[in-house]
Amino acid sequence: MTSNAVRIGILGAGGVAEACHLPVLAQMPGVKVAWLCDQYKDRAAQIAREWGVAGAFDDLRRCPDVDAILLAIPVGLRREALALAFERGWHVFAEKPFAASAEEHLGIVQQAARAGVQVGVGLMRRFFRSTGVARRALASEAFGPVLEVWASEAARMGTTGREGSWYQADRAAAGGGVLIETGSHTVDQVFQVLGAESFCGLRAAFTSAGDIDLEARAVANVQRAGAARAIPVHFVVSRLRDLYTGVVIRCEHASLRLSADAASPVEVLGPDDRPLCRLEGTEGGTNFYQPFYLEWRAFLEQCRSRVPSLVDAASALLGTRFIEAAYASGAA
Amino acid sequence: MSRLRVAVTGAGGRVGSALAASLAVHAEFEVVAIVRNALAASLLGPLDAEIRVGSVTDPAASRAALAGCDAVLNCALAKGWPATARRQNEAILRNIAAAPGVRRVVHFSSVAVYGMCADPRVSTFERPRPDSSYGVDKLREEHLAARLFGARRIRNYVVRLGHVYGPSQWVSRDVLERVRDPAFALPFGGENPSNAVSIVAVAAAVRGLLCGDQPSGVRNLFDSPQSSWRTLYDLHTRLLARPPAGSLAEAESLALRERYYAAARHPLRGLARGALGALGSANFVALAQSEAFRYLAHGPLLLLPAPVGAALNRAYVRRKARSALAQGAPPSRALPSALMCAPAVPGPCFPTLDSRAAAAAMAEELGAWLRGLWSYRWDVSALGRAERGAGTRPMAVAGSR
Repeated sequence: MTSNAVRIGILGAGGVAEACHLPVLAQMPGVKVAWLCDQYKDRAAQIAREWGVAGAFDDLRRCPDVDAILLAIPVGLRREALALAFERGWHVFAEKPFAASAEEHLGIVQQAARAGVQVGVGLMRRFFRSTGVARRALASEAFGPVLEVWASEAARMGTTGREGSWYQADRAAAGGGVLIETGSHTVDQVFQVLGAESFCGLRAAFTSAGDIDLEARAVANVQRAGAARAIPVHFVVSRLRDLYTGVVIRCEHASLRLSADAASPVEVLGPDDRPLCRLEGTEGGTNFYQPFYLEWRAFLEQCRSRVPSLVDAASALLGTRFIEAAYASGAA
Repeated sequence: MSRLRVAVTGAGGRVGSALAASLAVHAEFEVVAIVRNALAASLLGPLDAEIRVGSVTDPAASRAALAGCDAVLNCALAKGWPATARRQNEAILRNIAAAPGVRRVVHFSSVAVYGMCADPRVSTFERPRPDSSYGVDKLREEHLAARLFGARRIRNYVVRLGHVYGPSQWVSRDVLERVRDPAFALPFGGENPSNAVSIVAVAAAVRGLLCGDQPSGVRNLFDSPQSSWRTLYDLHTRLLARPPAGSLAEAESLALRERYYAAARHPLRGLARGALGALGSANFVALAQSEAFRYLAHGPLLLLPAPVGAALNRAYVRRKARSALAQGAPPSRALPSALMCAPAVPGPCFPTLDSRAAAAAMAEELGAWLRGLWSYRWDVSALGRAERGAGTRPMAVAGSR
């Protein structure tokens, strides 16, 4: 990248780009969003106008060169865009889910390496303060060894506000249903906190509408780096039912509870699951925008230094493997 | 006797789906559940109803969706940028009014038309004073509904719906999340009226409105007799076998209520503070971006051309993001909601079930739903526990780079 302002292009002018990325990119010193590109050019032009972005396109091939792009289109529709971005030497920051299979994931990472560009993944819970606090607490074994983990994120889907063309109703575009869409965050949050290295013994079951999973349940043994034994981890993600939402890590002397919300601290629970106290920290995001800001800062630093950061795409491969294996296990 | 064919718009939502299910088990109704996409349709589960996928904001799609229906239960709510959402919500009412054959409409408004912490001295049944975009729009829709349906001689009931609790309802989830914190305490000991209504009572009232002979009009709908917050919380904690929520001290409760009242009564103070700040710094953009400005400018904003309005909104989002990025950690505990400090909303109520009977009727279902939300453990027996060294090859990230 040059020493002048970093030029960013945004592919996909949907809700994520508008609500999560544009507000923080607009605040980042030394960063300029150069264009928005979307299959619906009117939409791209409208958002570009509102955010003072100079260019709006409906064809990525016609977009001017930039230093990096935000890839905010559905995972099943990215192949050509990625190839083009790498060909033109653009770094790529891809919204989650990064890939629908480990093969695809590795392929993207390898293509990026061949092109000499960096590729990052937007899994913003890595930048929650609670994630870092819990990870450090577990690493120190302050509460004794980890016994098991229960992670769930489940709310009956109510009003979607979406018409029939919604990408999440199209498996080819979305890459799956609730497991890849919501579960990619949940699985990554758990793996980050645990410092997961591998998993085995995965079993999964799904409740689906057509080929879209509306509920996914999975159990697996997760091996932490440096740990003597694997830990049973239980996941449930659902759009069908309201269930407990959060991650509970049961250790020998107490349990830790994390939320899917950046503002929530880590709670320490006693043996009867009553909250005892909260763990505080100083680093990491504690509101909606901060984690997005921090992940962009990490990615841009990775682009500059070429040293893998917390957003490095390769670091999310275990999560992709897990989700792929869960789908395969449920189908078997 | 022929069955009344009732279209439920917004049938994918929490209230809409519960009402569609409730009507469908009664022989006198034939339910047509209208949802916007196939995925939402799949969430309705086993429902003895015809499911139609289409948007009632669109005149042609709406005609098809409402074809052959005698009555409409309007639970649909478009959200988003205020001007767009307002246009869509008004289009829904126009499309319902234009549907041939529809002779009766139940339209859901909200007690939000009175304001979050409604002060009965300034916000009355006849002249409610909303203090949120949602309340402003709901009130405007009420007027439009009365005008449109009145002109077409469609019997219409505008229901200012209280805070709905029960299985799958957000108020019940909110209660549960609050009582997870042992330090949570109800203002005024929870003895304030809640202006809440159980989903069972809503269903009973709706059945009465669809079959009865009441004149058209606007009414509130909350529990009868009114449930206090204490009653509501005790119902939930009892079903969860948890200790009751604590009580906030009287002085703290009064201070909290005064704070909410002041914010509701004097939005101009906020504007004045913003104006002084802006003048002091010669920063007029900051003034235009302030919360108070948005509050006061809500009406005029809706009249602006969409691009101008959207640009102003964008300025607001920029400011919000900037301030969020500079913020430290949030306060460790959330304040009790303004709703818990509010008195009873004024005005008459549509008749419904006795609240104790309604609570008893849903106790089993509510209890099961609450327990599912409370416990982080779930039944893994169908999957079998992951066994250590089960022979599956470990799938690792190591060596992948």
